[in-house]
Amino acid sequence: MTQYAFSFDGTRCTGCKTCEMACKDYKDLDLGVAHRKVYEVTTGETKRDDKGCFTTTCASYPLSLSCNHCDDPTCVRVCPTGAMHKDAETGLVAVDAGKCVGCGYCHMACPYNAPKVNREKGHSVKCDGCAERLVSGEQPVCVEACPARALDFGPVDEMRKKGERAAIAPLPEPSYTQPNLYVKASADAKPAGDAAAKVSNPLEVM
Amino acid sequence: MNAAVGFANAWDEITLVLFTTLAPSGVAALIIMALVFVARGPALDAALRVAIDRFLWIPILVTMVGLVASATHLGNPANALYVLAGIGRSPLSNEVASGVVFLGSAGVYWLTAFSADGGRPRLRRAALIVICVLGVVFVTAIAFAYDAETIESWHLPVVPLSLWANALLGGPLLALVGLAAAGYRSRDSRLERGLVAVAALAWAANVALYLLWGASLPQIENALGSASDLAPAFVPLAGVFAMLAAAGVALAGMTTARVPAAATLPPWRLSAAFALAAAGLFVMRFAFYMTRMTVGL
Ligand code: SF4
Ligand code: SF4
Ligand code: SF4
Repeated sequence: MTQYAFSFDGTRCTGCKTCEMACKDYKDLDLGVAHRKVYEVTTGETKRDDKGCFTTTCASYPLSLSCNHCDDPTCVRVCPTGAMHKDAETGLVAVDAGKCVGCGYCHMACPYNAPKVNREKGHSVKCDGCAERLVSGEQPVCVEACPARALDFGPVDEMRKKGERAAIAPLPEPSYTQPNLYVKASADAKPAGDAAAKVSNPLEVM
Repeated sequence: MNAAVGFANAWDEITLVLFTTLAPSGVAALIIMALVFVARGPALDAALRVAIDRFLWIPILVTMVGLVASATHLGNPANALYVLAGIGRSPLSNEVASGVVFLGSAGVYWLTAFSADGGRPRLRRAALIVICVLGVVFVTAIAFAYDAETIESWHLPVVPLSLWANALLGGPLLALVGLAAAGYRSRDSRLERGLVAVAALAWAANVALYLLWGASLPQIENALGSASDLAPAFVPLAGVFAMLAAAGVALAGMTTARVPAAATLPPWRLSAAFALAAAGLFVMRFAFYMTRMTVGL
């Protein structure tokens, strides 16, 4: 088996959201559904001292995130039907619509906000790693679309060389699900679990 | 994250709110009604035993309404049989499977209560003991159904504890309804007063757990906010619960105290007592579903 993985270069990403839109276009996703989302993360504060001098530690950075096709996927663990499954060949995690009951447990438990139940379709939907493109030797649409070349996708051994296993805020510690996402962090990125780094566009991404 | 997100979380799962309000009380009530026969055995008057058996439909119906309601939240119920695939791995499969087994056996037991002679008491007693055990398994499975390490606001001891406390509050009140409908009255009202006392203790346990829980919500945080942002009114809602449930327990207590010991209790007034407590439980189950958040996003 070759486990596939994403990499994200936080020193390149400008937060333009082309990846998100390219995926929505390719997968023909409706309003309110996105398989890849860009989280706007803000940190710090502006203060005024006794003499009236202002200082600021404010910073912001974008993070593009889809499903991480985790090694220990909580979505698969909690799924009652086995619809959420990890492919034995590629390690990609996908939903079998023929088995899914649309209970939404995967959505509740995934700490990367990846799966979501599409009420019209009656089942859970999420990033499938563009598995059909992988078969024909192509890169995922989101990766190809990125104008800054901040995203990459390939065998995990290659992606591992491009950064640390995802451990920057707003992501959780990687120990929960062992995500196959390797991140080169920007200078301002805060460590995973640092609640001082806030997602400032929740209405857009949640 | 704010209360609107929390409200949407809970509203999306409104059928689960209903299910987790009704089923634990229904199961506990059935166990209590069954224990009257299990404990007294052949000493219990045969006609009365048959009547209690037949009125098991009350807790069975309450539990079933809950389970059917929860099935309506599924996007595609046609695939429901696949839920069996996750038994042992998925806590949700464990819950559904234990619920189906419990309701199936309780339902069959109830149907056989209509055979002409009331059946063989020793066999029926043994069957009831098994059903009681299945009921305990089911309520425990409901308590742990959404226990996943990554859902940090639900991966807490207070979650299963409060669900069991819920069952011990609503269960005795609903059992009073079933026993009154069956025409049962214990000597000196000992059982009835005991059930009211259990409900009152469970009320106190619930209130204590909810206050403890409410106080811990601000510390449960991720990059989107804290659990108290999702349910800012958790403690005031616990106050609403306390009032509704106290009214229910008090009404049941007054009813059992006022009706002369030889007469049967009025089921309707006891039903109102249960309904008040169930309304309080519903409020807090709603608050529970408002607080869902993961360790990450
Ligand atoms: S990111 Fe979420 S949905 Fe994707 S494999 Fe991991 S736990 Fe499952
Ligand atoms: S919504 Fe579908 S894929 Fe997700 S946990 Fe439920 S059955 Fe599994
Ligand atoms: S891999 Fe495909 S499905 Fe997944 S986010 Fe990228 S474009 Fe969307």
